[in-house]
Amino acid sequence: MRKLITILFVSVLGFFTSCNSDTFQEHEIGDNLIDKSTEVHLIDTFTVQSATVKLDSVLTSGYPDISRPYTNILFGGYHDDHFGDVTSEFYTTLSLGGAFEMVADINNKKNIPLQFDSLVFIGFPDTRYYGDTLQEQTISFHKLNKEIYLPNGQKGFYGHHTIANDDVAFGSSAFYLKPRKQSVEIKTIGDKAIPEIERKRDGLRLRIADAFGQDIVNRVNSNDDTLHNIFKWRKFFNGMVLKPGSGNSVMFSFKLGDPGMKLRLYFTYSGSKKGYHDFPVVISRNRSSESTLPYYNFSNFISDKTSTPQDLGRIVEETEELKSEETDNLAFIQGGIGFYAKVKIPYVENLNNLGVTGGVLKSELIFYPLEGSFDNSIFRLPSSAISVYVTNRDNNRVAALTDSRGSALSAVYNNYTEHKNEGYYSIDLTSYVNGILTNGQDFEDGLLIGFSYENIGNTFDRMIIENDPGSDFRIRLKTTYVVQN
Amino acid sequence: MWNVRMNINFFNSTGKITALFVLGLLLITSNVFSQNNTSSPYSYFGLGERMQNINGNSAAMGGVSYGYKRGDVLNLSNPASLSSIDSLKFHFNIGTTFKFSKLNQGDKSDHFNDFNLSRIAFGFKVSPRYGTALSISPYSSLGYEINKRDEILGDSRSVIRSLLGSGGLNQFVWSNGVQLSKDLSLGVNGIYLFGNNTRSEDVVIEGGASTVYRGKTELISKGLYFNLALQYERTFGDYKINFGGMYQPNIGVDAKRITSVSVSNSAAIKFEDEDRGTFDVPESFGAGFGLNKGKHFWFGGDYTHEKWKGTRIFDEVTDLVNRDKFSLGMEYNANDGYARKFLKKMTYRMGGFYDTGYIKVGGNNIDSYGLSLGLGIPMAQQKGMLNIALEFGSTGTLSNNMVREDFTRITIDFNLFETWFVKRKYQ
Repeated sequence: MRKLITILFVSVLGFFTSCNSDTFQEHEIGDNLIDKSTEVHLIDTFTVQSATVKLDSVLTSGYPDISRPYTNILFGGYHDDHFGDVTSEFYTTLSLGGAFEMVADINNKKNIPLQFDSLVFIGFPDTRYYGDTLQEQTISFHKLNKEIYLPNGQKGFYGHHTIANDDVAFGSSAFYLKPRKQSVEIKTIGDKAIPEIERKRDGLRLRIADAFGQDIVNRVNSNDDTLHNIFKWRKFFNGMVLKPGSGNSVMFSFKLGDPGMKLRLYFTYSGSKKGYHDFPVVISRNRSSESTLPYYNFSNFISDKTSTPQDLGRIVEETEELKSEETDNLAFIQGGIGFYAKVKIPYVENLNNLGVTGGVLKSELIFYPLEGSFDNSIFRLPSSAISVYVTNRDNNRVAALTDSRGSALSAVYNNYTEHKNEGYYSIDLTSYVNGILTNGQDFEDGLLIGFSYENIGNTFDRMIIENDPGSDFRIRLKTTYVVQN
Repeated sequence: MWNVRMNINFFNSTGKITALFVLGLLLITSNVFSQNNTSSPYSYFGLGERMQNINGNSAAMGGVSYGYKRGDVLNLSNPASLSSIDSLKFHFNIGTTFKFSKLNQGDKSDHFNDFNLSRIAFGFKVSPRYGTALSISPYSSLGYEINKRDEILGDSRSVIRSLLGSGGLNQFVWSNGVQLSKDLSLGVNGIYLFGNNTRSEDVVIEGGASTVYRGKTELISKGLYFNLALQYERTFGDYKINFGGMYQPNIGVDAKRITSVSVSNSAAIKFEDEDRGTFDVPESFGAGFGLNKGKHFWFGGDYTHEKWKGTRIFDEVTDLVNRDKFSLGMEYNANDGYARKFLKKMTYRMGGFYDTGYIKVGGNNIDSYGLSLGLGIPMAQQKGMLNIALEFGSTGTLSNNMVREDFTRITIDFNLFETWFVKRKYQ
């Protein structure tokens, strides 16, 4: 009997237990009965201070060092009503591309002399450009007076780096940029491959003055070992700088690697036979052994901001900030030159004074590009991602802004509004603001908004952010805050 | 000391009972089965939904207990009755409650099933005039989960607010009954009130936002209180009348309250506060009577008043209201001791109650009423009694857009006896 009772009891218990209602059933009944202990507010009246700051140094050879070189280079220039004149010159070493010798005869002796035909610059744009492509652009080629070398301890070459070079160009040319068309290699016609020597139509091919090419051919014909030995070649030709003309209206990107940039020397021999020799631009790399040479290339950014409406040339030191109040309530972002917008939200901690405590459900920084400062053809909104860094009084980039899981956050462009010009950027600051509410912040702490560390030396995008306190388009922090009563 | 010799069974029983007691403690106090003892949104208020702390006999009679006295029943609502439990037996009582409820509001309704172990108790006679018992049972329970859409002030979007209540308070009771004279018995319950009432409020922006705001309050009770009781019995020929009374002073029960706020996207807890203080169990009194006619018929009624109004939880005056409860019930024991038919061996019970409740929501008292039916089924060899009670009732009202809870509550309760104290005439 006792056993029976035990069994009965346990089974009754088991039966009832298995019938219990699911704890997480959703139901709405009773929702009017229960008081809430919190209120949720959307607050967007925080003071948001902004300023423009400038990086001292922007790596243009690769990031974080020469072992991760950029595989494209920026070249050209444009005039911008807001940012002034911006130009990029391209410095590079030039490879010998293998021994350049006379053509072999029937006895396999290299003694058939060459006749110079032409010297051609070949480069492939990579479709990215900034500025006006409808105007004619010029380019000039100058020999460097010194070898390019990487000083000890330096990670790479910076945008302000220059190397002495000949005033007189050894070549120059004019062209129209067709960034898309010129970016394509045309290696075949139908099924038929075009021999390399016949290719004349793809890329940007610019014939330059003969003198330099003629000199090389003369050296080949006289069996000068400058054209056999890479070390002697490097001594003979330290490298070159490609300079845009002062009237250029577009900055664009050349591919490095394959298809790459080169100087090609066409020649004839034995009457009418044709040949060519390439002097390629090799992507930056350090010297790997005694018998090799290092190769370097980088862009030098020059910006003349003296005549800009907001006199942006005032910023010199990285630790300075040019407050938006002094620049018509604007903040500036520019790749290459290294402008970042610095944003401070000094009073956000006041949220802690509401209620007993509270928490941020969502906090978004919203900003608008200045109306009229961009268009759809020439000065477009940035195509590169806009990164955000946590910064301090000295404008150091302390850390990338991340969400709670540690993934980096960037500004998102929202353009779903009816009015075309009312697209805005938003940055999710939920985690950042919750962090400030918990840990506090220094008065000078803030955020740097601009292009990423990794790419700022390789982007020409720019943007102007509006921050007029009286405008609907000012920078705003929209925070959905739960107040615990 | 006692002029008896213990049966060898004692040792077996003690082990078994201890095991059951520990099991019961686990079931009642922990979330072993992740169960809620209630699903009522009204459990949000006060200390939660008050659990009825009565045995299967009383549950079948509308809760009547003050004037109830039987030698084979541990009536802990009136500990004075313990003075007359059967002296040769060790009493063991375990009860389970299963509540089917339907919540109604407007034209919406929802069903819930809640199971809980409603009590474990054992007791015995220490001396001819003194009986004692130990028990554990739930005192109050929280079990609501409500999701509501709510506005964001200054925004067109909404938030979803989830209000969640869980846990409850339990009581560990040491009951004592002493017979002072032939007519009068006094009793006292010493009660350790323990447990954890947890309420949380989660807020999230509607539509896939990942950040969850959570405010949470835990009331952790660890305190003592007591109540006093008496029974006074007179016999008039075939009739026996028994008056019962109960008094409980307002006592602040020691407790700890932990309030915390966290936001899911930052690891740190934003706010945490731990308070020590007390919450009140109310001054209460109850009175009842029980009338026996012969061996078979019993009829009784109870009235209880609990002064919740003005009680405090951590120095904050609650907005609870005074509670009145009225019960009436009767019992017919068909067994004349010689019955052979099963139906003839059983005890039949019925009753009803009306309870004003201790909460007031939106100007409405959340009251309850119910009718009950029950059976007492004796086990073979006088090993005990299986009591089944069925209650049909309703809490709250549909008017003013309130919630009405219609429920059926089944209580199954085993009264088991072990013969402990036997004086054998022949060894």
